[in-house]
Amino acid sequence: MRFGFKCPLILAATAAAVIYGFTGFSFVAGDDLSMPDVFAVASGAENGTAAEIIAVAQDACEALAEEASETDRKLSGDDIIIDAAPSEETADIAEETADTAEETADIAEETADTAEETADTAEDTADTAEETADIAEETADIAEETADTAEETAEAETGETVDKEDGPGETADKEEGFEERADTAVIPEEETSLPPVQKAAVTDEKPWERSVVHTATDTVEADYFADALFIGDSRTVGLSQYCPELDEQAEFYSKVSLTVKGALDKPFVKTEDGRKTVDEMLSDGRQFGKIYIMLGINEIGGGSDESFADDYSAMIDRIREKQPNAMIFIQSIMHVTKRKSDSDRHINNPRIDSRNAAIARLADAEKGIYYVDINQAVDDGEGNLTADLSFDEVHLKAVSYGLWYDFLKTHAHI
Amino acid sequence: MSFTDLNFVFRFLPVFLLLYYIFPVSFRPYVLAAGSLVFYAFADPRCLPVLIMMGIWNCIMAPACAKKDKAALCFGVGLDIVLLCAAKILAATYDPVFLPVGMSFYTFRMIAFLADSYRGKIPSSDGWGGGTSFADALCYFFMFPQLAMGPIMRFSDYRKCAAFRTPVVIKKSVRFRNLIQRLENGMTFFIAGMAFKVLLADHLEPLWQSLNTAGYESISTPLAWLGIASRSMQIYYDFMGYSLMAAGLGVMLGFPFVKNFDQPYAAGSVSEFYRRWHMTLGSFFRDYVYIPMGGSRCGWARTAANLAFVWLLTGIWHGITPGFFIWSGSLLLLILVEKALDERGLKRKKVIGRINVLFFIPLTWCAFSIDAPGRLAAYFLRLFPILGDSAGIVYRGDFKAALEEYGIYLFFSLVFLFPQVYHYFGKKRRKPAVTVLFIVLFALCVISVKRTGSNPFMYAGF
Repeated sequence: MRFGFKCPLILAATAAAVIYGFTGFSFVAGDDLSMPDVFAVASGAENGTAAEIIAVAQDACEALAEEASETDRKLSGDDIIIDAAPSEETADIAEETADTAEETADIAEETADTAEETADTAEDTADTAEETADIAEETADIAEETADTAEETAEAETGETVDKEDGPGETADKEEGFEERADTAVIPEEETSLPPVQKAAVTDEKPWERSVVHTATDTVEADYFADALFIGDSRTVGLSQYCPELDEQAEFYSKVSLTVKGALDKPFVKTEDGRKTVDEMLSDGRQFGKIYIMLGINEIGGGSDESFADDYSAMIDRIREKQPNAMIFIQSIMHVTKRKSDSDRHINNPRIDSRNAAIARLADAEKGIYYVDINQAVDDGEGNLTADLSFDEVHLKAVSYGLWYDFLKTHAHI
Repeated sequence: MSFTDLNFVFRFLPVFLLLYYIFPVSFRPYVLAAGSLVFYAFADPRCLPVLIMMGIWNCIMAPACAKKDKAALCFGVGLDIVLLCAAKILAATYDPVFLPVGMSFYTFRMIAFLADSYRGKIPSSDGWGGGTSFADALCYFFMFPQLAMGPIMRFSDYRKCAAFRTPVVIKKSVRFRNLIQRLENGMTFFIAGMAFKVLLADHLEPLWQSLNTAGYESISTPLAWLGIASRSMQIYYDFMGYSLMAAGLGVMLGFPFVKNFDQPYAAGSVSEFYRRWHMTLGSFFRDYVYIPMGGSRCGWARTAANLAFVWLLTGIWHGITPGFFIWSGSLLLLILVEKALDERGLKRKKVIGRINVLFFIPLTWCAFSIDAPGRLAAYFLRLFPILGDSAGIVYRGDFKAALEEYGIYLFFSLVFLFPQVYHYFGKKRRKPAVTVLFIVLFALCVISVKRTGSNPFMYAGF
């Protein structure tokens, strides 16, 4: 007993070491974004990446197959109003297109297989991943071909139709569609292996195109935001600090490292009666006309797209309950810069894109829920946050927040 | 694997200490050398061969140096310097990965070892090898408490290691009590260092980051000043904390306490500041560069030239970037001004010295932290708004917000700058209340590291 008094630190440290040995202090809440520890990196991390590759590749082939069948349907379907001969030609080309697309799908499947192998042989991951990248590039090339062929078809068709004086609107639309597809397919010049495939998977869906109506031809005035509320994480905090014109008008319930799960129930809103939760503020406070939300970057390391969208949806439902007349704007999670995206296992743009696609589906114009793709305002042309706008690769610099504000002003719903 | 990594604290260290003390005295250098290589393999496995090759190379050269062979000394030291410079240049021009972890520090230990061999300070009866074994030299080069970031211990201190000698006291209980005391002492230093690093430096880091994130052109002038005060204290607690942890580990292994910081902000002049800041680097340059070149004995011009050379080397040692050259250049200037004032026997030199330490040194940390001259200029525009206008959008409430968020850490950082406070805890560390405080601090450190991770030590980049 007397001995214990002589070495209290040794005893305390030994006890802690034993506890750590058994539990790893799992009872101390770790941050989602905390650094991966040495052992995790050594053992299983690469498998995760391979699994991701598979998932993305599968998505990609599904998307391509869908696209192909759609092209097929569109081209041979009843909306073609041209002579018999070109129509036959078109059908042929369409068939070709479908074939190419099938090939594409096969190769994409191969990609998936290769990726599966990758998962099996963890040591060879790097090599195989390179192969995967090559194949992915091929896939992209073929997708490009598909697009080209399709474009040709469209051109042929359009030529004919325009001559035929009716329905230029429809065909023009179609052409635009094809062009866009070509755009999405022509990305493979990036050195990294993943983005091309993933881009194809994500951008092809664009569900918000179906459901979002908020386009204004003009810029709204600052007082448009007089009845607006912004809920968000550090990025929204930045918006409130470095966009005084908006801060004068709108209310901000924002907090550094806020998450969707904690958004409504963490007491962080400062009032005269102490700190309150957003939930409390929305229930007994004023009624807002617009509620802008940007959340998600802080929990991007955990959960799945589905669970994230579920949480998001639950949050919106709760807000809607308290604020029946507010328009709710889901702002896309803002991208990070290319450098950050290429180097971070969790916080990268492909993952942000897939999270965004998941929450974009929650938009529903009939319920007054809109999706605003804020990334358009800060994009570098390759789907990343423009490097010059940020110092830390994640947040906007003070002088860059104006871009965000201006974008909201031109994408208002009146 | 850094010292604040919980896998180091709770897995590597206990296992290592157990093995270290289980083995008989004569095996311990081998255990320490091997354990250090394992430690290094966790930190930077790709550069392990570089470390081993350089270790062996210096071991081969040392006996030749010990025979007063000047050519061998030049050749040995020359290769060390060339390798270090090559790594620094590659790291600066291509990619920081070219600089192996700890190379700046272990190369300096190797150079010191060769120079000491040449000067006959390495004990040996017949040339080299009698009193000092191959294992001793390798162990001295590799020892993990000092591998990553110093301090640059001298071989004479290495020789004093209590764990490497057959104890004079035969009685087992006494030997055991000595061992326990050693561990307990070392742990006190280790925990104190960890608290400085994790609880103060790591919690001041986000303040500096928030300035970067906003962009220097967009911070208010009060915040700019708070920023450099905070940054200065952060750099201090970061490296002082590390040094204390390293010294504590050394004490646990039986080495004498290596002093690397001695209350620098209480210094009365810039040159005194740097005798108290990173003391082992300063004394290395003094003993192996400045004094061999003539020191301050050969007239005013020669002294200035010697100082300039030492500070140029100091700048290069930290990294080949404009920021470090501006940093070391401005320090050189301050020291020369002080020397000039000294010559004239100015009465108020104490006051001027204090102003230099508390006002100009923080400004130099600004250059130390900001790499690009353009951004440095932007920061100075905010510090001294009379110099010109900046184009940014300033958030007026930023100073108050920062003070609210970081006030508590700034307060404790400031308090521990006073030597009286620091020494009070040092003296009373055996008192039960202080011991409880240490245990609480340790628990807080662990929780903090577990929650948010710890930032890498700054000096790991040099």
